[in-house]
Amino acid sequence: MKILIVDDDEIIRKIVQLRVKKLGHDVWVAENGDQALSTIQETPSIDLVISDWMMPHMSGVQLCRAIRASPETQHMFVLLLTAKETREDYLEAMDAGADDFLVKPFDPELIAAKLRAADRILTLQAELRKNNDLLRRVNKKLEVAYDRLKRDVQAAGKMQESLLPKKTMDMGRYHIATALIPSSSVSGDIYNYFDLGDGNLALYAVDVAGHGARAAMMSFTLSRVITADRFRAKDGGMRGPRDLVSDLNAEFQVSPPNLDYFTLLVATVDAAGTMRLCQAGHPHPVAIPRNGASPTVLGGGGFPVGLMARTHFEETVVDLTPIQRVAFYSDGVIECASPTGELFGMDRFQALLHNLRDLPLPRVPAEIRRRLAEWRGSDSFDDDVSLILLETRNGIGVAG
Amino acid sequence: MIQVEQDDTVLVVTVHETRLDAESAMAFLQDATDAVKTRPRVVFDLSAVGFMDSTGIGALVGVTQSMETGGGVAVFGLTPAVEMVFTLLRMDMLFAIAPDRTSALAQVRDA
Repeated sequence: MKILIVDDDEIIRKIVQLRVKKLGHDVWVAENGDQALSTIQETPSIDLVISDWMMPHMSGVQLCRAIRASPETQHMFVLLLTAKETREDYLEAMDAGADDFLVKPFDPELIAAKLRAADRILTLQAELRKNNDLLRRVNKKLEVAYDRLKRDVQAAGKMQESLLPKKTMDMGRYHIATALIPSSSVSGDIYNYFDLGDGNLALYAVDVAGHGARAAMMSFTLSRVITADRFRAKDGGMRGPRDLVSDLNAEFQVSPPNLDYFTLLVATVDAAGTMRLCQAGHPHPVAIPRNGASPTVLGGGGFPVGLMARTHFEETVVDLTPIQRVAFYSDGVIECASPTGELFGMDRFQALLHNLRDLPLPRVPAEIRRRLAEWRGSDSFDDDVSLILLETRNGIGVAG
Repeated sequence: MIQVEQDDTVLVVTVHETRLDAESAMAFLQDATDAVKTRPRVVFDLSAVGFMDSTGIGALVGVTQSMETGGGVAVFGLTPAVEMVFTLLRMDMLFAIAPDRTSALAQVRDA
């Protein structure tokens, strides 16, 4: 260790110096407190200070206080030399930050033992300081990384929003209203609809498994891959949703298998009011009947896309004549949890759609959002919520 | 998070996880894949799993795809929420869904 010995008595200074040197330590000496303070300022690597208690001008206790007051020196170990101090003196010295005491006359073995103990404590302190510095640095790095991640997720959210079509569309007898409520962590919901001409329309809704930038990138890819052209058959007609889903399943197989897959719902509607849909892991669409009866669910479920090759997908054909509206939505709607963890659920969602059947279509998505936020007790959602509402009006612009 | 036992020729994997979601799915995938890697016949006990999201489903399917081929997979003990997800995603195309352990074992043994 590097040890500074402070004593106004030259004889004592020499005795202590000799003993400490014999133990293999490097020694500095000072005759008074002022000298001691300038020595430790010049040599801040000093580990330990052995100081006499009673000295003119600055006492050992005052020196101790000065050492503790400065951030550069406060870690130094302070040993005070004592002769016949009282209990109160000791208490004051400890209060000033003294670590240990040596009673005159000195016992050489005791000096050696106390210096060993001091060395242990200093070593531990140094390790702690090192680890703390490391933690602080790691923490700083984490903070920077977290901020970057947060910005990336926000950017991904903005990108997701920019891929969406116009909120509403009118196409002859068909009307569409949509909404996406992004979750706080971006979940990769995406949807689109296409006017294919001749009174035909197509739409799809995707929910990529997982959250974050990875899911957002996948939904970005899908929004570029699922185009209106995919729905056009060579003969000029419309392709069936099942063919489209099967194609995508083959295209999005990954090897080795991982967790990147998505649920998909594809629907086509022709001018005559026939809807075909293929449900690949996406929730069952809900049909709201024109006659005011209770809503019903459509589709028979289905395997998600990209999870397994050579999957058989089914197609459901629905006559839209008796149906006022069809709601397509992601599981973020039914799995929207209240503060107590209760899910919004299918029944409540169907009842809500039923109750909103007389509200003009463009206003329905905002109303559903309001109800979900109310249920959740917050505007912040765990999972993306996406909605496409299709309304058919009979007798207006019907061909034939 | 999982407990593994051999019942005759079938490996039974009990999932001790109340939620199989984004937080727990990767660990489950890793542990269970290691457990089933060389086994052709596996039964999963999901009775402790109250909730499973898309990531959990992906993990379960991933695990079964790492199995030795030529056997079979069955699951039992589906809680209502998990059963709903299984039905929607048509998981019955991938593995046998059994009401209890005995019939799950029987289905896989015959496979």
